[in-house]
Amino acid sequence: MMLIDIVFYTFFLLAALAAVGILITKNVIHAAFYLVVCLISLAGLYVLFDATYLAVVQLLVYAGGVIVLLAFGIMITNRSDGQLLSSSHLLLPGILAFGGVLVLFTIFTVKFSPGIPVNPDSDQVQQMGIVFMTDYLLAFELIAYLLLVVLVGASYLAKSSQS
Amino acid sequence: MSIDPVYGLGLSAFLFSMGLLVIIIKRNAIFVLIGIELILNAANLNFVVFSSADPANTGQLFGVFSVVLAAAEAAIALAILLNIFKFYKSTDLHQLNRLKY
Repeated sequence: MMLIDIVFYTFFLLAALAAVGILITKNVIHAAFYLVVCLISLAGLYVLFDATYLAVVQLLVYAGGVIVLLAFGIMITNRSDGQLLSSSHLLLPGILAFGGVLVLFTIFTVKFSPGIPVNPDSDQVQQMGIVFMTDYLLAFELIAYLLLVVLVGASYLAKSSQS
Repeated sequence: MSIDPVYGLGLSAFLFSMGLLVIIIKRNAIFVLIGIELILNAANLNFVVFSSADPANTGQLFGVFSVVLAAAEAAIALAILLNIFKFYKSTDLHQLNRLKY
């Protein structure tokens, strides 16, 4: 077994176990930290799958931004009496959906994935920058406007309404 | 790189189902948001796995868009959740049964 395989399986297991941890924990802040572990492991997997640019974006935006947002959300909306919310409902339908989707996707995966070729190294970031500003310029501009609208909208919604 | 894509796709399937399970069985709204993040990441992992076979890296490109959309969704959802908490003093989804107050 090569070193890269060991790294790969470590990230693989960490991501899967962190997802299980989110499911079984009753504490919201623990779930947020399990999500951090899962996201960072996924960034590692992205590197191993030759997606270095997306790995950096994942670390910056997810592990940096989204988690801080979530942590603030948890701190603000936590109950002051320290009592945890009752944690689960709809257990049987949930487990049925979980099993069904997992079996379905695994069948698709095993059936259709063999023979995917592997891409040799390339100058990804430069290539992607060029594609962003040429082929996908409309999508790029639209997502910039979307972020502006989200910024204004979120600050308006979160503003204390003194009416 | 000698990693079999089938592992990435399998992990993606597992994360997606896990996110779905979290969304369905948890009652706290923040848990549901975390489940949504898991599902979005499963989709992203799929993009990346198929992008590793594509010389133009189109999957990675759409992965970036998807990360940005996920961040926007988290910001708006938490702002709405804040208002819900101010009104109901709780984030239990079973108690949120009125659209108007």
